[in-house]
Amino acid sequence: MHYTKVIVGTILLVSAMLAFSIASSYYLSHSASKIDTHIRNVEANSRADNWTNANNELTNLEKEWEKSSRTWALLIDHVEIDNIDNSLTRMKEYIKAKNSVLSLGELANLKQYVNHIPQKESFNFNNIF
Amino acid sequence: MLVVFIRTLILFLIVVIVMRAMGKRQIGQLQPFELAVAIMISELAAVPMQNTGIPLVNGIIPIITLLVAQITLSLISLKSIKARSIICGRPNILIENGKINEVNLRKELYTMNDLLEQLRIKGTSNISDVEYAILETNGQLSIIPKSQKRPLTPEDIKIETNYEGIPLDLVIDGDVNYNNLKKAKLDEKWLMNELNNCGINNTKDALFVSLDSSGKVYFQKKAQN
Repeated sequence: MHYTKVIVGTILLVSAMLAFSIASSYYLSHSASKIDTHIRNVEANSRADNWTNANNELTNLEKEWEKSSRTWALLIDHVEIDNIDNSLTRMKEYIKAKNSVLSLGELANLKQYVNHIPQKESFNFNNIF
Repeated sequence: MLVVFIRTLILFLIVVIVMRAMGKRQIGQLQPFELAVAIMISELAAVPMQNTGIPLVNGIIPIITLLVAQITLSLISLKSIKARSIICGRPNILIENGKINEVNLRKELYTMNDLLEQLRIKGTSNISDVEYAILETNGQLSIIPKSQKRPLTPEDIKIETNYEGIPLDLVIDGDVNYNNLKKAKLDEKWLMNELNNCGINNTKDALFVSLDSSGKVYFQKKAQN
């Protein structure tokens, strides 16, 4: 009877951990793809020198990031979040200055920062070893 | 600073709960794998405690994983003798019938000095007094002395002894232990009567009261401040 309790408790604990891991992994990739969509919109407008739209998209991107970053802070190293924050700050200034070269470079940088998080947290052979 | 303080408290509570869930064996660290778990847990808790950049989850998940692994290994070793010998190892006889077993000594990387030191720690200075010395799976050395060298027991000189159970604590620091009173088939009225005879009018004034198996009551009154 006691062993049954221990075994059931252990199975529940493992199940809860697995569920949490899968859910957090799914959340990270889902929110990263949302942010990525906004980054691509900013990028398209920057390429077309459409700075008003680029600014509007940037506002949407910031809102999306603000929403996601609170949960991300519970799941990933805070250095990663600081990197994205810094990149966003730089990009805001480049778009304000209507500098397409610098803003496109920073956008590529930001895209890399955002998209490598789900890759880093995903369950695969490379990440295990 | 306050963040570190709160994180430390959270991790401390988790480690205490996990160590408690692992059971008393883990606290005694009876087996090599249990010692490994204790070392790893303390390290895992320390890293997110100091580094606020690491999410707490990164410390909590491995700790819970180790708890699960430790419980699983304990259950496996409980159910299977073969698994137990693989996980915990086997006891090894270092002195057999009063003779040192050199092969086992070498196998366990145990020097003669280690053996003599352990014998002295266990209170045996003369190796010729030992019938068996067994190196247990937890690294402890068990000693079985020769029958002529072991302490005398009442049975050796055919003396009858009365039953001796463990004394029951009835009052600790002014609090009555009703479970023990019930176990002794006594009630609070009896206790108060005993205390009154000892000059204690209130259980709150008693520091410690116990009852031994022969029915003798031991008591100590609290110091008056």
